[in-house]
Amino acid sequence: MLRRIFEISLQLIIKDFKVRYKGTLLGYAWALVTPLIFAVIFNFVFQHIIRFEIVDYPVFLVSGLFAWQWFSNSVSGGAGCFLQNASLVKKLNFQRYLIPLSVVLVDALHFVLALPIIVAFLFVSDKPVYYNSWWYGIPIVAFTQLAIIYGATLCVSCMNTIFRDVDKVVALLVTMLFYLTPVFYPLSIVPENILPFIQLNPMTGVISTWHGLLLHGTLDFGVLSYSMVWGTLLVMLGVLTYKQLNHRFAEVL
Amino acid sequence: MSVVIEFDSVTKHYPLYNPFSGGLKSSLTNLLVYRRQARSERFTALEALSFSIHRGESVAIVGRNGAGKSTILGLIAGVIQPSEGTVRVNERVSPLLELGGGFHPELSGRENVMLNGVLMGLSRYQVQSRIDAILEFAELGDFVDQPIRTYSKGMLARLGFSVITQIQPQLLLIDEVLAVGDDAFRRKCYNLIENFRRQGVTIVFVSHSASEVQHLCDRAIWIDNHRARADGTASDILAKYHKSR
Repeated sequence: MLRRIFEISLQLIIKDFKVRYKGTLLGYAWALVTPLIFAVIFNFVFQHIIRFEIVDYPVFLVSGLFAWQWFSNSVSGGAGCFLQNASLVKKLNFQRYLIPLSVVLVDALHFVLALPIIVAFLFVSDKPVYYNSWWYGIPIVAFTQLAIIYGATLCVSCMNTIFRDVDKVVALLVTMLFYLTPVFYPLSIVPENILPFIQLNPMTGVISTWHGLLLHGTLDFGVLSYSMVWGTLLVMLGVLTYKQLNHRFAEVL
Repeated sequence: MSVVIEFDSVTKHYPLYNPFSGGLKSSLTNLLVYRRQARSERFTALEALSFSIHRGESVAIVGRNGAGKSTILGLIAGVIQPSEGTVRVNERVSPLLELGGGFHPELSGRENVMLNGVLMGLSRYQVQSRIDAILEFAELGDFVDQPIRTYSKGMLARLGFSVITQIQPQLLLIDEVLAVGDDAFRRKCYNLIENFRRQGVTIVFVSHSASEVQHLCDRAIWIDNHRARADGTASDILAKYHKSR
C-alpha cells in the first residue's frame, strides 16, 4: 500500500512538473526568478523609500520569501488542482488526496532547490554560509511548513471543487496573510499590542524560524510551536474536508 | 459462478443545478432551504436498479441517451457513490474506458501511458518495461510525443485501449470507445476483447452498435427510463429493444 502511494505520488509529481512548464521559455527558472524580483521590489521600497533599519536587508528578504513562495504557490495554485485534473478524477478510482500532495511537493522541491541561492546571498553579505544546526533545523522547519501547507491545500482544493468561489477567497486571504506575516519585516519591530495577532498566524512561526535559522543558525522552538499546532490542526481539517467531499468530486466535475 | 458485480436496489440522484452556483452570498442565504430544495430539484439517473453480473460474463448495457448507462459504469468503477442502495464489486476495479478518460490533455501520449498505467495499479517499472508494447498497439506514429489535446477521437480511443492490453484486467468497463476507431483498429480491439473473454475476464460494455453487442456480449441489460426494463441474452434483448423504437 505504501509502495503504491509512493509510486502514484512520484508519477503525479513528474506529471505536475511537466504540465507546469510546458510551453514556457524559462521553465523551472520562474520558480527562482519570481521571489528574487519580489526581493528587489521590497528592497527598493523599504531601503530607498521607507527606510527600514534592518542590517543586510536583501539576505533577510530572500531567507523568508522563498519559504513564503512555497506557501502561497501551493495554497492558491493548488486550490484548482482537482478541477485541472478532472479527466483523472472522473474516470479512475485512486487516492485522490495525492493530487494536492503532489502539487505541494513540487513547490517544496522548488523551495529546497532555492536554498543554494539563499546561501549565495549569505556569502555575498559576508555572513557565515553554514551552521551545524541546519542538519536538523531545516528538516524540522520544512516539515512543519509542509504540514501547514498540505492541510490548507487539501482543505481548500476540496472545497473549491464544490464551491468555485473558494479560490477567489483564498487568493485574497493569502495576500492578506502575507502582510500579517513577518516576511519582509522582523517580528521584533511589531508593536506590543499587535504582536499576539501576528503570532497567531499559521505562517508566522515558520517564517521567523527560517529567518533565525538561515541567518544566525538559531532554532527557536517557542516561536515554531505555534506553527506546529497550526500544522496539526490544518492537516486534521484537510482530512476531514476530504472525507466529507471527495465522493462528490466525479459528479460536480 | 461467483458474483463479481452486485447492484442492490441502487438509486442515483444528481442535483439538477448546483445550489451554490449563485455564489457565496446567495448560497449563504439559501443554506437553510438548501436541503429541502436539493431534494425536490434533482435528477434521478437510476431508480431502484438491481442486477448481478457473474465472473466471466460479458454484459452489454443498452438504452437511449440519458438512460443512465454511463452512471452504471461510474458506480461500478467506484468514481461515484449511489444515493441509495448498495453497489458491491468483488474485484480489483479496472479502468473505465472512455474517450480521453484517465488522461491529462497537456501530456504526450507516452507520458499519459506512464501516468495512466501507474494510476491503474502498475508500478512505474512495470509500465516502463511494457511501454513499447503498449505504444505499438496504439499505432500512433510520431504523435506519441505530442500532447493528447492534439489527438483525434480515434487516436484517443487507440491510446485508451492500448494501455489495457498490458494490465491484465479482471473486470473491464468500456463506454463507447470503439465507435470512433477505424475498421483496422476496431478489429484489433475485437480480437483483444475476445481474448479477454476466453481468459474469463468480466466485461461490462456500453454501446449503441447492435452488431458490436451481438458480437461481443452474451448478455444484455436494457435500461429504459432509469430502470432495468429487460435482462436476457444479447440477441433477445436487442430484438426487443429495436422493436420498441
